[in-house]
Amino acid sequence: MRGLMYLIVAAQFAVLATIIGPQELNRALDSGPTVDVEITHARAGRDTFRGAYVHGQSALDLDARAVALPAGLKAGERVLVAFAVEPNRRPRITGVERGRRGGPFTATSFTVPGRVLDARGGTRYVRSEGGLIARVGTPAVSIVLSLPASIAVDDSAIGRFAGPSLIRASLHAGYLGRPYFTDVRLTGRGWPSDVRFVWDDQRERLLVFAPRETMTYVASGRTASPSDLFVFDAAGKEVGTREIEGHVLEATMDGEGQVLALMTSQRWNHSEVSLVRLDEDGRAVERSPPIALDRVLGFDVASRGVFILAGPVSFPRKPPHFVQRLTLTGLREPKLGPFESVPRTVVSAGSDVWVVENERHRITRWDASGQQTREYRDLNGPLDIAADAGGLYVIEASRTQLTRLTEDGRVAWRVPRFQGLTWAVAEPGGGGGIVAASTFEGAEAGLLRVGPDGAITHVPATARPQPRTDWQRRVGASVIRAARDGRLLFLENEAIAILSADGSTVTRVVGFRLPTEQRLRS
Amino acid sequence: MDGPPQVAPALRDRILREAILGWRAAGALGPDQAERLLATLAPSPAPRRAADNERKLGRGVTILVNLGAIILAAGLLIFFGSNWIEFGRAAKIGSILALTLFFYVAGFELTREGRFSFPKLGLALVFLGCVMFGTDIVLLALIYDLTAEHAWSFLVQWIAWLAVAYVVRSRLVLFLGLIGITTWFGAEVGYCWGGYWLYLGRPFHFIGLGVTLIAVGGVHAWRGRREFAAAWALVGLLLVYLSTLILSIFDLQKSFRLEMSTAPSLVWLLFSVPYVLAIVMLAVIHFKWQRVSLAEPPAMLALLLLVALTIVSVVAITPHSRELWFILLLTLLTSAGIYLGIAWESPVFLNTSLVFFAVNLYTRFYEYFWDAMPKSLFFVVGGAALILGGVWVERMRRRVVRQFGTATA
Repeated sequence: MRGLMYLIVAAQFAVLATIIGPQELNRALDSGPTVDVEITHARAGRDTFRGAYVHGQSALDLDARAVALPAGLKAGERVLVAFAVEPNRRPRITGVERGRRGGPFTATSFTVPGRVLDARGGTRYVRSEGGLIARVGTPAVSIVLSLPASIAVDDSAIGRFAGPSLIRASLHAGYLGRPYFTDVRLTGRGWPSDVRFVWDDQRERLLVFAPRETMTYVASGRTASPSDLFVFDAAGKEVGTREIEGHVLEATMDGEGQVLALMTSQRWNHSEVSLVRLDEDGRAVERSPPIALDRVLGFDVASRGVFILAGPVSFPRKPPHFVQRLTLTGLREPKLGPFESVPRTVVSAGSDVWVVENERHRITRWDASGQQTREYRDLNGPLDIAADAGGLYVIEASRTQLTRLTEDGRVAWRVPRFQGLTWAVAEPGGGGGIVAASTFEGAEAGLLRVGPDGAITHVPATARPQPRTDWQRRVGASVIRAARDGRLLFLENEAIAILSADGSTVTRVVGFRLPTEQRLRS
Repeated sequence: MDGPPQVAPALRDRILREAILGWRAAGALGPDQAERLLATLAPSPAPRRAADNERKLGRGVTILVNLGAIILAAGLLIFFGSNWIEFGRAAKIGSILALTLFFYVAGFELTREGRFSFPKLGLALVFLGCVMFGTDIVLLALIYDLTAEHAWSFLVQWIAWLAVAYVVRSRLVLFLGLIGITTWFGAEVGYCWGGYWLYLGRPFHFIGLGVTLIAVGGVHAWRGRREFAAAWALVGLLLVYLSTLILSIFDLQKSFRLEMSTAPSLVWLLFSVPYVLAIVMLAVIHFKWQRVSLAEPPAMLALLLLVALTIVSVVAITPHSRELWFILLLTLLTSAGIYLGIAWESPVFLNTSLVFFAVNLYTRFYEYFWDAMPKSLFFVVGGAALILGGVWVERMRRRVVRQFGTATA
């Protein structure tokens, strides 16, 4: 019986040895240099079995459509993906070759083993198995990279995560070709999906409002969900950070260079909001009474207020509907209306106001005295508009069509065949505009320039603006143009992108970097 | 009251024994005569009392040893938890492996099969060794940033735990192994469908696992290993009852149904074969085992299977909500469990089934009366019913136990 028992114990140790042995050899005999890899949008988690860990999206550039692939690659084949490390840009793929074990890393290059998921490319469903997936070649082939999908951290490190974060870790090649991370550091805060930003033209600063994704304020007895205000200079460099008591749902800059925000005290319950004026330190200096969020239709910078659906709340809402300004001092006349349907959004520029009625397929223009000066018909479910001196750009038809309306209300041109039109912004001087869309005429779009005659061309810089669905109604602007240099600021999925005035370069602010890195694993 | 005064038998035997020993010492009785007379008396209670005392002492030692093992484990856990960050990788790996080896070796050497005979302490240490083995895999994954893509670690763990349980004959380790099997099964079922390691959204799967575990328990009972049989049966019953209870509240696996218009002939064959088998089984019992009545366990078991299969068939072809059928199934299963518990004198079957019978009743009570009744009345009725039900069940249990005693006599 003793022999049998010790045989069972030996078998158990053999199992443990199969875990330890290859890993130790992989690390002990690995003497090559390491590559620092940044992970954006990193989130911390805790697993009953694995303990604390972080996972996120690698800052590796995994889109390599221009890179050639070895001929005849089949699904399941093992490959080595070579990356180049260059200053001031993300590591990018430079080549793919067959094989399992790569060479040691150098200061300018490294390789990561991978496996071909789908050799045919295209739109076939690809099972990711939780790894990073590179898209290489044309048509694109999906290659899953053998990098750890998550990195263990100390349990105490969980408390340092107040939302999506920036992580940096050293990537080793591994003697047996199994890459592994060491030296994990917290380098900054990333942006949650509901991040908001404004551009302060007077001080040339970017202000970013990021709600904290932690429930610790409940335990600490705080009444409001905290947010952070991150301040950047014109070049996107970190200036400072402040804590804000409350959650900023929408924000804009008023005419005096102060932040006007819609805020709630709750992180997730946004049914009621207050219009708040924030000072430079993020403190609320003026606050309106609470109002139902679904009654707020747009900011009115000129009056330092918002447009709201006027009148008592009734369900279902019955016509006639009116729009009125709510400022920090209360309701202000005149009322705009009547409207047969509930307006979707209200946009103001100077003393002019445009009211968009999605259900009635119309847009109306109003002057400062509350008189309707124009009615735009012949539309198909308008969703968002951008106004300039010469007329309007209208996103309509479930975000598939861009329409140009002239000053006198006529349709100048229509461009269909878009998917996911997100926003449009007019260029100064009536020389067309720039739109963001997922696809145009079946091809990936990103940013597109629209000429005065409706001609569509690609903007030189590559960007992927954050998409929006029809039900995602925004009170604030989705894109901001800096008055001084004409740069455009808009949201991508993980970054605030700044497009240069000539459209040639995009600078991305992926997060607020801490002055000093914090080790997450001892 | 003319007869001799009533003396307790134990006292009478003690007086007679002392008298016989006194007469032998005085030479009034020869040694053989004294032995023959002593043999006519009831055996001395001393050895029985000593055995009882030893058993009680043994129970005390068991409690102390198990308590000590728990405190030791807690101490080690706190020590490692507090200092884990301070350890280097080699120290971490070395310490967990050394600890595992220590628990296994020291534990086994203290069992009856080992060099020293402290079986309770030995089994407690072996149990800790088993826990450490599972912990080792988790900690190694943590140390090396490994991500599990399959439930193989659970599989390895329960195989190792069951092997150890049978070698050292420990029910505690066996329970650990059974928990391991359940966890591994959950991981397999969950991973297959993109779920997590213990996927509670598939109770049908766990009913299947529960039946299998009960069957393994049955094999153990048949082989005369009732202690191990009880552990298998308990975990199996818990899985079957819990899964059926979940289904009686939420019909989670709505896709588990039969489309009669598209079902292939194989499905119909699978549906009909169990009925034929059950009928054949009843016929064999009735004609071949003439002395077994239809109210006895073999026949009742066959009848139960027949009814359960009928309900399962109805569940499979019912197109709309099926919670009512699962309520009926749970009632049937718990009733049958109570009956079999009494018939087989199995506390595991009797107690587990009684508990779930009551849980079933109270779930229905909550479902149907929580909204309809004032809350005070709800709790008054619920509490009173629980007390009365408890008293009634206790009376029934005592009567059953008396019947067992009579039958044994």
